[in-house]
Amino acid sequence: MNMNFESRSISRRSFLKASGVVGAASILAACGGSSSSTAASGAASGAPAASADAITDYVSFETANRELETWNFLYSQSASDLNVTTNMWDGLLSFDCYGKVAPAIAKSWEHNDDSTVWTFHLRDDVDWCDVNGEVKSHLTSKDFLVGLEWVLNAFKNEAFNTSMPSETVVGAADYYDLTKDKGDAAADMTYEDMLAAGVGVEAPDDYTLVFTCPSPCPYFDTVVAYNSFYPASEDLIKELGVEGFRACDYTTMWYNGPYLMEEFIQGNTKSFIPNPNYYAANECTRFEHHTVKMISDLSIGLQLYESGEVDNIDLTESNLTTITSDSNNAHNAYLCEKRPTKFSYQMHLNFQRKDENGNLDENWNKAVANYAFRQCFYKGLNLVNYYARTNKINPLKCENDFYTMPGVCYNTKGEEYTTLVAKEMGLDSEAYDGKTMKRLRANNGDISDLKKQAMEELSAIGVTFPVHCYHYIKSGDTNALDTATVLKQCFTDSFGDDFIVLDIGTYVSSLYKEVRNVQLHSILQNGWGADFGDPVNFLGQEVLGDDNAYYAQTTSWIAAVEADPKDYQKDLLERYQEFTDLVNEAKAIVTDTDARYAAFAKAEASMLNNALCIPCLYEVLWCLTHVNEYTKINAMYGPCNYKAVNWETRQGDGYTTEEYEAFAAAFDAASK
Amino acid sequence: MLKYTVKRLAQSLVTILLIATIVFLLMRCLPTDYYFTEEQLMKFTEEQKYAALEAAGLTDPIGTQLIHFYNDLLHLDFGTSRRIQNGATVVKVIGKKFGVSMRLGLISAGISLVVGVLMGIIQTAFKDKLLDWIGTAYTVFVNAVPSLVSYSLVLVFGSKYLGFPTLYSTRNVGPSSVLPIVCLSLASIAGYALWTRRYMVDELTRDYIKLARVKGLSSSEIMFKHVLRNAMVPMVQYIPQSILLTVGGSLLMERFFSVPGMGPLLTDAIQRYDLNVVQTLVIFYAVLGIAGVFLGDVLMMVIDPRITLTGKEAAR
Repeated sequence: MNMNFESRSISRRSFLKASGVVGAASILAACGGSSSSTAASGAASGAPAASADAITDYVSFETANRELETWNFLYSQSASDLNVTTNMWDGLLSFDCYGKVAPAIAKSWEHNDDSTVWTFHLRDDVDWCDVNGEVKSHLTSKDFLVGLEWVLNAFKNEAFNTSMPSETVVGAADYYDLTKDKGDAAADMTYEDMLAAGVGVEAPDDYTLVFTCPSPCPYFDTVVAYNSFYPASEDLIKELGVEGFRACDYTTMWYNGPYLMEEFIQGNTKSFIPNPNYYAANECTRFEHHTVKMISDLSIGLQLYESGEVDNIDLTESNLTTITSDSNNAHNAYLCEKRPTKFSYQMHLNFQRKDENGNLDENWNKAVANYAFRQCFYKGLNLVNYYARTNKINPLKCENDFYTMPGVCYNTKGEEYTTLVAKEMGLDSEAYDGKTMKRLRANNGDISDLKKQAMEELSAIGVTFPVHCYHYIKSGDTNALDTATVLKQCFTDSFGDDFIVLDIGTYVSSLYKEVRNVQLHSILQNGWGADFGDPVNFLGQEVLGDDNAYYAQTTSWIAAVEADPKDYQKDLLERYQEFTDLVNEAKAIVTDTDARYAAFAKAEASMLNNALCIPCLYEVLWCLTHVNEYTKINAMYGPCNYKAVNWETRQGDGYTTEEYEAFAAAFDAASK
Repeated sequence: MLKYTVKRLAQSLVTILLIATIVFLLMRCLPTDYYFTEEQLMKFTEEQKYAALEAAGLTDPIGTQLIHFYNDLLHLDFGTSRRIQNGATVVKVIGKKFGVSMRLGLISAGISLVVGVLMGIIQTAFKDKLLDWIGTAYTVFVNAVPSLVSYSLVLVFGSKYLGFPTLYSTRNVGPSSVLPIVCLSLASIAGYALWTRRYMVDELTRDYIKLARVKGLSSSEIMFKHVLRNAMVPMVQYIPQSILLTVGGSLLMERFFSVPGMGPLLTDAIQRYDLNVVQTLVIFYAVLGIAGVFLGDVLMMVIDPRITLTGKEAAR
């Protein structure tokens, strides 16, 4: 299969107030289009001209707990860092506003028949420049070799970001081990040593890069979009030294992205100005100034928006209450519902719960191993009030019925992957109605038969009722307590206190350290954001017999159950095995993307039908804004979503509710 | 005086070393998982975690780490930050924030001192009259209402009706500093007013005041020459300390107005297990505290020559 994504310009229709669905569709089409064969550069998805009333000095916000810690793109694994540095550092590939892979420094790419060899053709007009915009060197394929060597070198990058290349590039893991064994001497190793060690990457010329994967990897293009594969300049590393490059900051780093950092004041301001040497400068729109202000929390957000100090703000539940309860409130017509964030929240069941003394909680473990008991969670737990904590106006927009986040991948017919899962589960005909959860419609949430069955079966093996379900929140977090209290009421209303009771516990500092790792939880809610564009990135976390299956090893603890199963857990393990087998079958399909996704959809449906995990929530927030969120890069993985290029903005009044509804409708129509 | 100074300096050094060692050991008592964010804990393998800890020197035996710490301290090498700003020297991290907090803090301290003392004098002069009641009401209000509430009131009133920026901005330092300084000054004005009034009212009941009145001294002479001077003696002891500690910033105020100062740095550093930053800050605050007390003692002696710190009768 070959793909060629030469950039081309698409003029963008000026898009102002009162645009309808058609107009919104035009905008969305211009920001990338759904056909990958015509996609323009992700950095420059369109080549639009900014409208006359577009904002030139855009001010956004970030909350204080998300301050940047490191500037080195190769070293960082935190979204709070990458959200900043993505504006200054480009990689091989980027994404469009639908989340599809788009060209960046690589203008086109192809792979062999079994997806083991991937060739990327680079642009020849990319330069590195310093903080003052002065060109320092020309970027070639060698810079990607230098970058990869840095990431794989245990001494240089201290094991950060190594896992993705280690799993997907021939010899990468061995090279990491080699550098680890060498200790401090690894500081002197170069990309030539990496090539000599047999790592599966080569640069046959200055503008071609070839990766070899150890096994077929049909989604490798989405993998190289991750920052592990970003370039680094050998000249800069020589200039700064290993320690200096690892700890580079905005004054010492070199830039190849759309912006330069004009000013950084920790805890206060990040101010970007356009990089005059940006390779795609003529193919995208950028702000003359883009400032990110750090704010203590969202409680002062509305005040900041009203005083014009920020151009967009997310609204808290109390903000929404204040605005919507007063029909004369000026903001009522400007409430904009955002797209879901890129996290699919799940209610992970713990199949091997322990109490605070470290003893197995047999009552819970027996209950949760029972199929009917778990089905009650999936088919009977009405979460509408719980969703309202996130989205007060349209709670059911937060309903999540799948394990994989929508938008992670599309088949060749353009069908979004979770629509395939919906078909497998018989949910494809269920549309959002704003009244009832889709998965509760079949039986109107009536689980009396299942409840009766579960209670009978479980009573027979000594389970006592009500079963206590332990859910932990951070101590002192009143917002979390309010949300948990609502969830507790959802349990009461859905299950009855004679069946399952939610007990709210607290931890002091770390959920992972104090709760998850010691197996205290019965349920643990967590949002998973993809690392690359394939369902295996989600489903692979729950399978049996895989040490890298994150949730199986650390959250559901099914791996521990597998190691020492009790009699009552045999049925559970069989169902897990069925799911695992289906995942492995899907993984083996590497040449036919449609068949691969269909097989994964079947596996996911099996997982959900067996209620091995309970899909929980999408974060769909409301905002007041002068930016059209639907023109932003919206990838479900990778570090590019905060790259401030091609953002549609408007001075004066913010976007209206109606306009945003039109954007959403156009987006949904274009992405299905 | 010299003997006293040398003795205090020696005591101070021991105190600082003790504090630094205790903090060093306490931080090492925390599980090393605290070195990582929740996000990193979710993503990192055990091997990655160990490699990161090893690179930070946290896998060495505690004794070795302590020796390295003392050695670095001896060379005034405070190390680099690992989490607050990866790779930046701690001195650089603190230095950038120090100036901002100091500027706001000193302005606020100056305003508080002048306004607070003046308020106290007025309250004393008009004791049990309207102005005194207003001052008392202000003091009670500021002390009774949580800071976050009074800050919110200042923010809403200041930005909505007076048009001051809500967030601190380096491009607009003057106007954007107004609300933070007002918030910072609210409590200390009340404090100075309260204690000035209290000490002055006490002094007014003394016999020497009655004598001064009998001798025909004017009210203003009595108030400023005698009452205020004597009332200031117990207060001046704390002025150097409160001025010096302003450079430490205010956690709440700086968070609230996004002031890039020292206030939230220590708690952030502890939360993120940035050991070098925590240790340096603790030493820094200890030095400030000790210097403040020392200068307070000296100032007290200057104001009231009857006070001695070195003789047998020395109270301290």
